[in-house]
Amino acid sequence: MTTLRRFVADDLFKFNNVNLDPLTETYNISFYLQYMAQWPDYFVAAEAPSGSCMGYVMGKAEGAGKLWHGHVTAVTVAPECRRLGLAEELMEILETVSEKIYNGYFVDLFVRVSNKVAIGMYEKFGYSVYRRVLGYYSGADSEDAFDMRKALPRDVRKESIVPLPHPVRPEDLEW
Amino acid sequence: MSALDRQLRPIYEALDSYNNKQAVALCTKALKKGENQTIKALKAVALDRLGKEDEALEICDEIKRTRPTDDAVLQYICMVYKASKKTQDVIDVYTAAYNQAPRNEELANHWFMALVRVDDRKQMQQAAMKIQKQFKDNSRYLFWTIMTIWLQRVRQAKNGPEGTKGMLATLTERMLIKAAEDGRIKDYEALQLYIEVLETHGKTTDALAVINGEMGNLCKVQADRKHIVARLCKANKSWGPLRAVSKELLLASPDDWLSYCNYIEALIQILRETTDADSRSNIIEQARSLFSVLESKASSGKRTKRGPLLAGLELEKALQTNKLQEADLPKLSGLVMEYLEKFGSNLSCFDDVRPYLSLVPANDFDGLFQELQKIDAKGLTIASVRRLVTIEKIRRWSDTKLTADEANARAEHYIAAYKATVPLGADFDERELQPGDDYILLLAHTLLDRHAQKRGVFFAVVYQSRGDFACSSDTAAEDRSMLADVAAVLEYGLARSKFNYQIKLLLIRVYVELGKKLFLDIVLSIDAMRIDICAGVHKRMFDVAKTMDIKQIQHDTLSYLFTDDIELLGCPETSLRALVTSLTIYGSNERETPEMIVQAFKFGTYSKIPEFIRFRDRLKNSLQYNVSQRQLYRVEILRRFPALDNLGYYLEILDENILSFSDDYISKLSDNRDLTLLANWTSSGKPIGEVVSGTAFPRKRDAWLKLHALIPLILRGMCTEGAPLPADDLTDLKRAINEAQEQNEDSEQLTAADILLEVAGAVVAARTHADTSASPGKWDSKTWTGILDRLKRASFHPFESILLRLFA
Ligand SMILES: CC(C)(COP(=O)(O)OP(=O)(O)OC[C@H]1O[C@@H](n2cnc3c(N)ncnc32)[C@H](O)[C@@H]1OP(=O)(O)O)[C@@H](O)C(=O)NCCC(=O)NCCS
Repeated sequence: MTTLRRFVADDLFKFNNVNLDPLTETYNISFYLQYMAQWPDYFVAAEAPSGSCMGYVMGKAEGAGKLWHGHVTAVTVAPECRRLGLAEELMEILETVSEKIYNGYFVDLFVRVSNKVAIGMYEKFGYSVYRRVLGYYSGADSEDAFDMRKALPRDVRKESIVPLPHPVRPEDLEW
Repeated sequence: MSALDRQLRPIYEALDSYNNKQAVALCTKALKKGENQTIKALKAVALDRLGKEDEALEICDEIKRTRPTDDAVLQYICMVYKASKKTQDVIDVYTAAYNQAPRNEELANHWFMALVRVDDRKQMQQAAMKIQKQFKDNSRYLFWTIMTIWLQRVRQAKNGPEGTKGMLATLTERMLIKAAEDGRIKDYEALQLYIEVLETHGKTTDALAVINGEMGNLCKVQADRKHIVARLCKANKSWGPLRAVSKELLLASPDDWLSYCNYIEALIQILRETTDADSRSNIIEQARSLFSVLESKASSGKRTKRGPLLAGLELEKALQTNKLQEADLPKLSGLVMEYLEKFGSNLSCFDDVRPYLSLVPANDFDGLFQELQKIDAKGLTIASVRRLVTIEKIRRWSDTKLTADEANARAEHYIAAYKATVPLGADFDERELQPGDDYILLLAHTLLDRHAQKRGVFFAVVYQSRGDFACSSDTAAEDRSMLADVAAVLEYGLARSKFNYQIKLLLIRVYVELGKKLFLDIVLSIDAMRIDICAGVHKRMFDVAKTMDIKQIQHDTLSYLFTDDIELLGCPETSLRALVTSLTIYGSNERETPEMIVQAFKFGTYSKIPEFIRFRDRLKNSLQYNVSQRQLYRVEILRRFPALDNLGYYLEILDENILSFSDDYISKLSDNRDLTLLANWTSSGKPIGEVVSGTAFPRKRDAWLKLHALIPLILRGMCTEGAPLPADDLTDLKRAINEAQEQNEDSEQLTAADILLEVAGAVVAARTHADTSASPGKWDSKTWTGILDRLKRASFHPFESILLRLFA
């Protein structure tokens, strides 16, 4: 009982029940609008029958050559709508867009190393840790991130997900 | 490296490291060796950053007169112009440059974007057309032209002259048809624009032909394409095809709520057009069997989806409310029970079934409520707690007014139930909700109900003693202690669930209410010892608010939850900070959103252009913006008193634009406040914030906005010696007061406004009739005693009254 549709600018006025979650960042206006302007298919909202926001996923395509890939910038679900398989559906959409519209080699994402729930979830969806990024999250709650990846069909030999043996620093990231 | 590069590099480095002084020095030195526009422009940038705006602009104007075409030079001087909001100069500079070098595509782009930033649609169109002619092969410019015409039509849609509207519409449509014929619609965004234009003109049949035809393949995701078809069928009132396409969508994705709604709507319309009873029941049976197919499909996957079962409820409800079928209460009741049985332990379960609860006979829930009585603390699991909480909410929803004893018993039950759940969540990540959190809210709600009932009594006491405006300290104390109990309950829950925003928001509202009451006590001198407690309440309120990390767009949608009435709390410094912070989003909107509209043009995301414009306007015309700004003025005025010079200066710099108060202005404001956030599970659906404050919450602002625009404007008139006081303002104030009275605004606020009216009237009289030596001292002494008398009585309202003492 979910309506999945493109996220629109007006949704920013009503996504509070989702964004008041401590693990969900609220960015500035241009951050969201830039995604909508540049990758409109990658930003999907889940709407409840009442019209309230249940969650959303935002992503983008980036990279070059064999590193051309889809990236999950945020996936989040309102506390009252969790464990219904919504994150799974949203991630499936993002993977479809990465594969069908952008034809990428893999999908990747960053997650706080302490966010056990999300890490477990991504593993269940077929993602694996590619490398650790030291001090990726800065500010008051500074923390390392895992860079997790899942290969798409275009990466036939699954080269993109072979884990790196050593952690890297944020300045070493390609994108 | 060229000689110029060698000169430029250190300048760039200085600028990059924000070493602006050094950058200026380097530029000056380099310019001594010879004239160079790039360096000059960089000097302007550095000067501007140092706050030397005038010098910077002077240099820019000088460069502007030479009609530069160099890209870097243009960019730098436009940075300075933009920072000073001199948008017309930006446009002039680029127009001149483009006219000199019309083949320079990059310049052409800059020129067009400069126009986009200021949203001059007519000029945008002219520019786009010129550029399109110059660079014929690039379809993007064709679509810019089309878009700019379409945007003019969008702007005129509301109140433009019919003729122009029609012309713009036809023009857009014709250009798109031509573009389609020429094969220039080559991506999904262009296709969407084409369809939207046809749709807006009511040409849904044409639009359907487009999406179903060859061009529809531009939409790569099948479901998206079908959703467009469904939307168009609906607009076209083609119920048969709408039902068919919705069915296809549902078979592919049995949880797609929009398609269920479309299916049901189509079905209802088809039934209305069907007179024969047999065919009707046939059609209904088809729907029911489709839903049961979907249900088995939805439960065969790894996770049972809620859609089909809930859609079954929606269908029965629609049949009933449209009187297309005899009410079958047992059936509905059965469906609700089945849903509760299957999905009762989902957190969202209550919200899912809420729309259907009123269709269930009251007694049917009794069996469920029985379950609540016997809680076996040992046998509890997270799932069973969630299920119990769902039932608790239904019970609260079904409750008619509880007696005091019943309410007490209920409260005790919630406490016991909550305590039993605590061990279950002991190992949770602290960022997750605790399983029993909603018991805390149910308990708080119950206590708030009781407080609300009592409040009637408190009010009566205050009302009776209106003469001296004091209520007995006993009742006041009881009122406060009931609120304090609620706060304690919420704090108790918050200690175990640190990130529960429901608990926090309600706590904030309770503290604001408590703070208002305590402050009133202080002003009334009932209990001057309470200053410390009062300050403690404010502090805790702001601390809780701070942990919510409200930022960016939330300043517009959520601030009201902790800034409404903040000016009545008697903590000017903290209020000021909160208000100033919340106002930052409107500046961000002015800065950021136009750039994003530019981005949408750049990436050819046509659907987003009107969408972003609408978004920008909603924020620009935000009601909350107007409220916060007026609150800020109020707090500032109070803070500056009694330093008269300071106050007078402040009053002079008020922004008159935002202090507009015409009906037209106020009715066009956009209310973006998120009113849906705070949970309340009663059937009346009364917002819990209203239960806390006993008045409309958030406040009705129409009359308030007028009053609080006029008050500072009139005060300004009074403070500026020798300036005529516009008599019109006074008439307007009188009118606004009357309006507010009709809307039951707080009477204490109105008393102050009323007095202001009187004093200002006297000032007007003094300034117009008497000679220059007129002073308040010459006024009729009787008027003065009258005013003073009222002032004393209004003294519980510190703000205006303090100010007015100034004139006594
Ligand atoms: C992580 C999050 C997006 C999951 O959303 P969701 O809609 O509840 O996830 P799903 O229902 O699709 O769950 C998919 C699977 O993930 C795992 N999972 C999700 N939440 C879990 C939890 N709280 N505990 C254990 N496993 C969990 C389960 O394996 C689950 O499958 P199952 O329900 O069949 O057991 C949600 O908890 C959230 O919004 N968290 C805050 C924001 C965040 O952390 N985002 C990720 C940042 S990179």
